[in-house]
Amino acid sequence: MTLTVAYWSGFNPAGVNIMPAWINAAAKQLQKTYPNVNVVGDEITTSSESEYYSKVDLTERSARTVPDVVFEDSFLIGSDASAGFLRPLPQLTTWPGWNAYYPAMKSSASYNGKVYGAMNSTDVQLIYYSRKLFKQAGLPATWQPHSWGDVLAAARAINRHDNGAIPVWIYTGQAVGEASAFRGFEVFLNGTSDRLYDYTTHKWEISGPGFNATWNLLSQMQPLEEPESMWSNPNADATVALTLMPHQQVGIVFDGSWVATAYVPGGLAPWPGFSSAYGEAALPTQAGGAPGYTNQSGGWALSVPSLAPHPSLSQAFIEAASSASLLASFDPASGNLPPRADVLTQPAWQAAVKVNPVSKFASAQLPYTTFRPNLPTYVQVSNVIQQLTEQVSTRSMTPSQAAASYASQVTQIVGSGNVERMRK
Amino acid sequence: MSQVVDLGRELPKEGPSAAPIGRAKNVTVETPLRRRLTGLTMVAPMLVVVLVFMGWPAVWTFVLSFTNMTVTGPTATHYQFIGFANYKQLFSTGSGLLDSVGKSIYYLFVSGYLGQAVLGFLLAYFLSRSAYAVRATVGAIVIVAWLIPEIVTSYMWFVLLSDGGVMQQGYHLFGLNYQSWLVTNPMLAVSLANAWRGAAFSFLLFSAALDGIPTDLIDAAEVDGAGGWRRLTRLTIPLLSSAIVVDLVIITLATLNDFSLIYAMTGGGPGNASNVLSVFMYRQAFSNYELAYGTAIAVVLLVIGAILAALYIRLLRRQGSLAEMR
Repeated sequence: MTLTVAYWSGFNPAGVNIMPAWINAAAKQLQKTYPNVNVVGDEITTSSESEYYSKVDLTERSARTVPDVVFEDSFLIGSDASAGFLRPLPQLTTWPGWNAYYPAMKSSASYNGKVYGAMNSTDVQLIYYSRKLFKQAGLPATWQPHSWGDVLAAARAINRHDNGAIPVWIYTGQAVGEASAFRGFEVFLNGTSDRLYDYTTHKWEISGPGFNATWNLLSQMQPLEEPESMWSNPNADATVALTLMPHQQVGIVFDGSWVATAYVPGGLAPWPGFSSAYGEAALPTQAGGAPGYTNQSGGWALSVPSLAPHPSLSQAFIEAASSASLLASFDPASGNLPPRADVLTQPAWQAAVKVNPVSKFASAQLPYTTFRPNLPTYVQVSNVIQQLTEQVSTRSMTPSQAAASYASQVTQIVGSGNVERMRK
Repeated sequence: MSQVVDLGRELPKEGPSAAPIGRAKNVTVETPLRRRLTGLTMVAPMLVVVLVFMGWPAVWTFVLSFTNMTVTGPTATHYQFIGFANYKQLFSTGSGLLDSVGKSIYYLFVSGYLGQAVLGFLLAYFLSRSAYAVRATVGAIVIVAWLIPEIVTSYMWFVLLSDGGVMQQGYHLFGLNYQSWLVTNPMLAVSLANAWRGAAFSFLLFSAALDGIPTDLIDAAEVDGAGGWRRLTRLTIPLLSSAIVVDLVIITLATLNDFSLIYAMTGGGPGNASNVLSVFMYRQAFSNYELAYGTAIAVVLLVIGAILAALYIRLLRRQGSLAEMR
């Protein structure tokens, strides 16, 4: 018997064998109990993450194409569960490993009170700043901004000093998909008094001072940002991490905690001098308001499609793959933070932290983190944000036009009974 | 047709109570009905293939365009019929449809008609009058461009035009500043690539048609004193009219439906700057996960293509009847 595990090619960059190594290690564990089961990784190659989601969802529609286990972005769990594509896995909560998960990670993999998978990775957002460009611009060698104003001031100082360098990198536009909604908008909005979704009233917030401030910030950042030719490329993440940063051509970078993973020995682009070239800072709130910092986390889970023919075997594979010892190798290799606390004491994780010091700083940000609304309509709301960041960056819309467009488009998507306006 | 029935009448009759005409034993007699049935049986396998693989998806697309089916979310599997809501949304202001139709028409005219049909015709016309060596060399180069898979062509042009690409190196050589055409004028960039790739088709079609024009006709016109331009406009082009219409029909449909070249080169961007109808459809269906809304755009695309094709075919018929009258 053969189990297929579908995953995205983007998680398995050329020259680095992360996914097959992890799947094979899990298969070996599984075969201790089920010796006749063969596990095959099914790498789904697409240029963008959103195309991977579409492809996986399409395979889940038919019993003839459905994989046994699917590598699922946690923000899609609600959407795919409500579509009926994923199987609830109530037995997973009785698995001994389940208790080791951070509570937020348990709810990340749940929808409507049911568990739909086990998380295998999470992350946080960081600011990377170039020590060289900061020194040239007369900025401090060790830097921690305490407000958006501090970030703008530093970016402007870099711009005044060096016209060749890109002062600030912020993901924007539709080409990079979810990255512009997540890292180019939501992490800033979370630093204001507004949120995408109000969990107390169960309504989407569609407008408010925080929304206006965030669109304004993006508009102010626009002249300091990377040029359109860079952000409109689906491989923008490679441009910043593999070209701009190694050449110290970008001053301030808003990106994920996984970026530095490429630079460790044996990584995609080993760079021993990374730590002396770039420092890390936490994301400040709008004006330094409590708790001072903000963040947002994503992460991936392993789930079982509804039409998968051997669900209990699929679940056994998930349990094997999500053990503390396997995640202790998989998470640092894939540039992620562990979703369960017991990974931190594993020798493999501790060895990895020594090689990649960013992961220590990153895990200290976990207390400030938040999650995207795990709701079916989030995917469409995210698309609205992606389009609007592009409109603001190309100056096709003013911040107030973007704010108005957001309110009307989101109302249309979720229905006027499910929205609220914040007036504070 | 009457001959076939007559044949039946000449058959020898069996016994006094002869079988009615056309029912003679052991002999197949072709009545009009039988003839029609035979024809139908012959085309049936092909008809089934066309209906199953081409007709059904078109019908299903049309049906889905009246639903709220999505790629993910509750309506992915439990979708409902919502009447004309998708079309209402599509034809309301701000949907982006008009913008995409405009871009598709630009792409059709610049890359299809100008870049492929006109360029292909000029290549065929001038090469037909040049030495064999020139003809063979240029012809081979043009056809090679056509043989290269579309996705490879896209990457070639991407590398040529993108930041840090060949074009930029060339500009720098002359001390000029280059801003990627993929950003500054993406529609022109994709149109150039499509023209480069597709001119070969028109070239081949017109080369064959030009070969079919009797040389004595041209010679006679020349003897009568018709100059080169007059011979081209009064003789060659009218004689090629059916080839021209066929070329236009095929190019129109291929260019309107073209997706991969544009998607690979610009992704429809930056922004919506190269968001032709086919890319608009894909983005709505598979990036925004609005599958049914995407199918409504597909139906609009189908209708535009069908109207244009019908116009050209009408033109072709008219040409045919004019020729008969002469």
